[in-house]
Amino acid sequence: MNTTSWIYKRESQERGTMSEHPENPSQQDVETSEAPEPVSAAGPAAEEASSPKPSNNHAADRRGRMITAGLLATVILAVIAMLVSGIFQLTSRWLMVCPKDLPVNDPAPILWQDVVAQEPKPAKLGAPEKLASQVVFKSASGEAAPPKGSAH
Amino acid sequence: MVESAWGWLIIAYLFLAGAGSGAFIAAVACELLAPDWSKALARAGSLAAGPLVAVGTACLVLDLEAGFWEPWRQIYLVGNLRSMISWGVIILSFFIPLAFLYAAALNEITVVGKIAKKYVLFIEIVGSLLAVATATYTGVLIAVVNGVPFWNTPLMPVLFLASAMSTGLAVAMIGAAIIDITTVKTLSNFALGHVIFLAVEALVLMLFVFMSLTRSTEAALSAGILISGVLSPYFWGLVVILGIVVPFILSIIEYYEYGEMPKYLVVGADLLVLIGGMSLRALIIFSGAPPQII
Repeated sequence: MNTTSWIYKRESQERGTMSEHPENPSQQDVETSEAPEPVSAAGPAAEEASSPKPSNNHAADRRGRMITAGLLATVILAVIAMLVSGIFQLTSRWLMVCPKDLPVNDPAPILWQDVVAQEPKPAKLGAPEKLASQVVFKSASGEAAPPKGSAH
Repeated sequence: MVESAWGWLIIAYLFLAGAGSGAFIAAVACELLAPDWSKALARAGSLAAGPLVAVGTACLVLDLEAGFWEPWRQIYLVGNLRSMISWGVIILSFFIPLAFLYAAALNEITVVGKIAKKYVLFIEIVGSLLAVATATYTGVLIAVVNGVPFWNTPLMPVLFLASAMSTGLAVAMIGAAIIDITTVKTLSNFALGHVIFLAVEALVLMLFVFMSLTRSTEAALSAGILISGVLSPYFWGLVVILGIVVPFILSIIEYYEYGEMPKYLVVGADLLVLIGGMSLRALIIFSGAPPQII
């Protein structure tokens, strides 16, 4: 069975018929689609006058039902939105927040402790001892004098 | 649960605007592709689209507290065309009246609808473009937030568009069942749409989570909250199982059974899709929020 016939079968099932292909419709299809309309002897004008006109109430009912459907769909979605938020609100009380779940580790407390814990050490005035031991003084001739403790 | 700057109003907007724009696209697709046997679904989708997006936008405006109390300040929303927010405002401003006009035209409501019916094809084409833009914008709105790396990815609009398509189809199918319960059998034809959209949504969601795990530390931590952290029961329970897997299986059965499935299961599958869509948006918002929010 090719794709076209398969689709047609689905559509036929929907209509309540079981014909396999559009080119080979079932008897029910033929009866439904090709049934001749009865023509009154008085002509179309008399038929038009005698046939009941579709009432406005029916159209209004249909329209009202559709508008109700749109509104109901909106209400259903609003209810779902509230339902989901309610589920979140209620069940979140039972959740235990684990520290490893934190999306961003807040460094502020650690930084603050570092700032508070740092005590300024007293510094001596003048050059540090290490620097003073390595200092090289220039001689009068322009050559650098050997530092103290040198082998020269 | 303490609310963050991105709370339930924004989540409601993301959900309602996505579902409304998806319903519009479903209605147009039914009207253009299968006008003979999908009238109820097209009408239901068109009727639901406008109110849903309008209510969602009202939630967005309510969230803008300063703009709500001083509405004249909202004119500044369209002042900067380099901002995606401005484009979102423009898209919504055009889409909402067009969706109402389409509903009036398709259902011949009032004189306006009868006049608009002459231009219904034009409305469908322009409206479809705006509906896709609206659904995409729900994702863009949070994707442009640079401060939350989990949201800041081009996959976000794709994920929201895929979710909007499935939730929109669900809205149209529920509306069609309300209009005429006997049309449930016809709805089996659209179960294939659910199968496709839910599969795409699942694929994009999987990509989104896996890419977040490797993208940056913050995004990985947010993704970790979803799949194994404090929000994982909601993610696996509400989104994956109830919102995707169960409706996916039910839609496959519905398509092959063709009208033999009980009506409450057909409508129930659509309701589950909607619950999953709402939960997905809530989880994405909350997993990207600061830790004290949860």
